[in-house]
Amino acid sequence: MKKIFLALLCSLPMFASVHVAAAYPYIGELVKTVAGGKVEVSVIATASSDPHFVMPRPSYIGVLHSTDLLILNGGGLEIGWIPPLLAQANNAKIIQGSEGYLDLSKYVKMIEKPASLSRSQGDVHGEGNPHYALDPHIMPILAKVIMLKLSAMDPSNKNVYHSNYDAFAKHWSEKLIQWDAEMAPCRNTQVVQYHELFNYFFARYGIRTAATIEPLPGISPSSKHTMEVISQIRTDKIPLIAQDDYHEPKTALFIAEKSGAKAVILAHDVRTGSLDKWFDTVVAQTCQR
Amino acid sequence: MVKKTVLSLVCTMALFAGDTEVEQLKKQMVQLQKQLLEMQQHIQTLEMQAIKEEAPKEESLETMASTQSSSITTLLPDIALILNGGYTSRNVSNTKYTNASIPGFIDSGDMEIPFNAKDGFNLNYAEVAMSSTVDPYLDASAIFHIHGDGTMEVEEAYFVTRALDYGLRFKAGKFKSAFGRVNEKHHHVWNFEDQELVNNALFGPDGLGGEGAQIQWVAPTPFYLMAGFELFNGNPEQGFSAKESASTAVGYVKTSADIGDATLLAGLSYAQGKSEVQSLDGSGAPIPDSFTNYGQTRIYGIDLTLEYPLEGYGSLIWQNEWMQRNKDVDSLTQKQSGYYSELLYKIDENWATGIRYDDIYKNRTGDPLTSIDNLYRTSVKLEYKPFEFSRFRLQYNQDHSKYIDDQAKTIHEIMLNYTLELGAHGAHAF
Repeated sequence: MKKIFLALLCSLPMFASVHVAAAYPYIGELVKTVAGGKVEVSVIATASSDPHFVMPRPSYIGVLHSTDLLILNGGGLEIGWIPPLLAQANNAKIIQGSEGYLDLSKYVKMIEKPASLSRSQGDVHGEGNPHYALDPHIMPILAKVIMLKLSAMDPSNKNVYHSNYDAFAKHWSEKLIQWDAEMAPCRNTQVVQYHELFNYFFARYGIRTAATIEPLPGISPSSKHTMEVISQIRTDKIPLIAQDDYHEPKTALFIAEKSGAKAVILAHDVRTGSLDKWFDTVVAQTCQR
Repeated sequence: MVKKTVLSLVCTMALFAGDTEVEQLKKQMVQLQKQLLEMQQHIQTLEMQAIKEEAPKEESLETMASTQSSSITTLLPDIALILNGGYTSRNVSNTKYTNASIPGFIDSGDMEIPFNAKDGFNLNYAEVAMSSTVDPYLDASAIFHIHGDGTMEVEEAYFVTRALDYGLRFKAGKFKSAFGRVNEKHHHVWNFEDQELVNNALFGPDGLGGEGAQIQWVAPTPFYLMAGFELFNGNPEQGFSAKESASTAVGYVKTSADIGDATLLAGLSYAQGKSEVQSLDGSGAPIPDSFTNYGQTRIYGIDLTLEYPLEGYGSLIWQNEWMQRNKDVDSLTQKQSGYYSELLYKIDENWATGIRYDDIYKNRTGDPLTSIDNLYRTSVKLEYKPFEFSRFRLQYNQDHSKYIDDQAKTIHEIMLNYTLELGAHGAHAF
């Protein structure tokens, strides 16, 4: 009996895996891709909710409490919901500044960092636009960061993480060639968005955001502004309106009907399926007209 | 490149040179070629060295970090200013309203009304909140209310540990107790413009709390389970005796369950402290300022909240809290119970509405004059939020909980309030 117990005890470290909490589904997908079952992943936010305002649930505290590694998008995207959860989870391993706190935005060059910050300009992100995950070319960087982090925290599986990453990087570079080719015809076109959510994607493919449906970040559409957007679409012949998953689509559909532009609802994160499918869909929706 | 130029130079020189000098020139040329070769070799080795130095090191997280991310301003504490005020209209005069009583709980003249006290305009407060990380182990916060009449209050000022082991967290300073569901929350995040009736009757306008210490423990369970213990100085405004030494103890257990998209939050709370037992006169009424002994006050609380997210930004919240106070007085134990139930409907990003029912249904004080057990209030509200940090709220109360000149008086009140949050204010918990 004693021996069995000892044997069990000794074998424990072999089964012990790193518990990872991912703030958003796409981070969860990256971790799964790199770790391939060697870690346990919990995803906190859903792809259908506003990434800025995730309704906090106490069960997230249960998750964060038993986590070894918390991976955030960063750049202020989680500022409205992660800090109180983190404060209440009482987990020293994942507080800001500790080894188990990984802010992916620190490895990305963020665009649109405002020169001055005033809420008269709406709810502007002070650290720049944090929706960088929409640029497919950034994805391999994030995968590499996650690979390096997991390798440091769990050196026994280092080789697994490295080879999974290499396979992903190879596969992704092929997909990038495909997406880049599919998006090429739409270069130098214009788009109207609800919030400046897809800027990285459009910037990557040379599509200019001509207007947003919300007059300022975080301000609901007004009829005056909506009319201005309609006339702008008409004069500039803007073909596309990119609506997100969580704001009301009524205004976008109204603008589409009055202006003749096509409104599409784009996923800002992995809804179902894989990272591949997410970008396959976004590419097909934005450049197949 | 260098070689070619030198060679062509030598060649042109040779063309113009006389026959006698040809031999000499040839010798020089050979020498030059030799030197050139040496120089080339030297350049090559230098280049190789340079390449070696430039060769990518084993890539690490440190080398991958973007250089743009440091920010010196984070050393300043987060500072926020919150303004709350509005216009109130009610069917009783200001003098009568401030002298109202809640029988068995708050005597006439003792009522403290921190928000919307006046019929007319009110600046309820300018709240200044500051918080920051102190060192690797502690965070600290301070929240001040500066009221319209110029008085200032320290709402909370405390430090809290950042990284204790075993799921523990320690807090000390002046702070609000986490008893029940709403006690801990600040006015600007209340669901209605005024405090829940049972909280107001039992703990007074500032709620349970004060100078004290707290320890909270999150259980290592896959679901949320938290237990906490607090110790405060006794405060007469909260129904306790200001006996020397900390004498008010609070304990609670909170848990939650996810049922599909819905979240259920539940808590059990208990508070205990010393109360001063006053002598009773012949009719059973306590004689003011008399003191016979210390008795015990025990408060039991149950809270239950159901949250259901709707499409987009909408949500439906049903929040309930029940409390009972058992207070030892001279020869008997007073028993007083009440609850509130509120249904909140967040329609979208901008609009929200809600209804609340407050009821104190048991009020056995031992004194027939104050043992009035049908104290209740109904409230409805409509909120408009043009922006995340600004809110306008219209609320109507029909209040059957107050006595004016020892007579039951139904108070009707309409309040229109604004709440504006400026600066860096931390996010709020569920």
